[in-house]
Amino acid sequence: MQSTHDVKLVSSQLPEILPRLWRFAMVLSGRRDVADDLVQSTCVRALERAHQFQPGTRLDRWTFTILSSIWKNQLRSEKIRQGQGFLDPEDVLVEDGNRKIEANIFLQQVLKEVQALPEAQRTTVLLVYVEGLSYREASEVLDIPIGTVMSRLSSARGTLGRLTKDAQDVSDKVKKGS
Amino acid sequence: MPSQERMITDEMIVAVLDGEADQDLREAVEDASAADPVIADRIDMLAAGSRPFADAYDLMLDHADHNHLNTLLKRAEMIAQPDNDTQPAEPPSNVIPWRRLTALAAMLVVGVGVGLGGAYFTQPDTQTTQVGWRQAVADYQALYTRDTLDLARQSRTQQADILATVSGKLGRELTLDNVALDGLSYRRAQILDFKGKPLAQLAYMAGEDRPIALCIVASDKPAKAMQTETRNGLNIAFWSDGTHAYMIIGDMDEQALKTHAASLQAGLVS
Repeated sequence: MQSTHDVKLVSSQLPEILPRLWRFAMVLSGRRDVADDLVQSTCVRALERAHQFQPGTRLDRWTFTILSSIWKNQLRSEKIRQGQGFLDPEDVLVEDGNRKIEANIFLQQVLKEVQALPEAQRTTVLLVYVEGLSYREASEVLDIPIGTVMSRLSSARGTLGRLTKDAQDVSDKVKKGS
Repeated sequence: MPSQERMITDEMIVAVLDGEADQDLREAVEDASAADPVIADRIDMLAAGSRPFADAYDLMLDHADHNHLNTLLKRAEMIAQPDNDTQPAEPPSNVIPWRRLTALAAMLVVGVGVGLGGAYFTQPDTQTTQVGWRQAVADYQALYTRDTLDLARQSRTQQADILATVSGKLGRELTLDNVALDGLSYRRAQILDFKGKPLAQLAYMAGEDRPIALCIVASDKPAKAMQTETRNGLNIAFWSDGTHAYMIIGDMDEQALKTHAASLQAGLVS
């Protein structure tokens, strides 16, 4: 049964993790409107199932799991059918009006490289390398085997590593030519 | 050595780089790296795939709209806890529970995978809740945006399948042909609940951005000819045939709506 205490506990902690939930939703969906729906639906489900949350455990992990499940089971197929899913970091980082971010160009480039990875890889990168989840925690959030987490990360690193090597090769050639 | 290269996978190397490998695996990878330059190159390559991921993604956090996110949370709280203390007293039993509609909206978000886009849940004033299902639908329809239906695109096969299911629940045959309306783009059908009765909602788009809905609910009241009215700024044409009550609602002028209603009446004749 859902108790007021359970709901208050979850409700009190949700505001703090909203930005990270939104970021996860953006990385998954690549669209602000879908990310909004994901975040709101996740909050609804978390509040409705507040009695299932174990005090003393991490609410962020629990809500990531909910969000991932909603995405996987309900929203993702709809969006893939629409042929969307690529998030251009510039769409996120350029704010409305005059508040344009003066971000480190290198970090923007990193964001661009990771967002160009397949959804499964970039999501795993976010959970493990950004959110700091262990392989096991990431596998639980995404409801996949640990081996799949490992294979996604190695594929992601392989792609990014080749980009680095290619850039180094170009740089070396330029140096030799000059 | 080729045999060692096969034994050490990229996954193992990445696990070592990520600090997820146990002592045995770490040593195995180190040994293989020392013995085989091919493996050493692979380790270099995978290590070069590292980035300041956290710093990069924190750029996104800097751009999270906290006010907007808090609004989403407040809406979620309204949906998840419709009976909490912050809500007004329960209306009389003959009043349409607007909070129940928001709960329905949540079910739609979760169950059908269609969000309400930028729509806000608003509380209709007390007087306008003193009416029947048409006000309930009007309250709900007012939340619809173009985004709502853009996210609800279905193939024609899916539309037909869902319509058949809705027909079964409603006890009224609906097909893509008999619900087609000239100039309106049919999008999807779904079943809501109104006081324990299935309420079919068929969504259309007029032009680029005007959601229109045909709603049908079982009704044993005597048949009534078509009438029109306005609720929540939306025009409504409604009628009943002795077994079901119908309404078509949207941001459309009254005459156009009546034309569509007449077309539906003709097409839905059993």
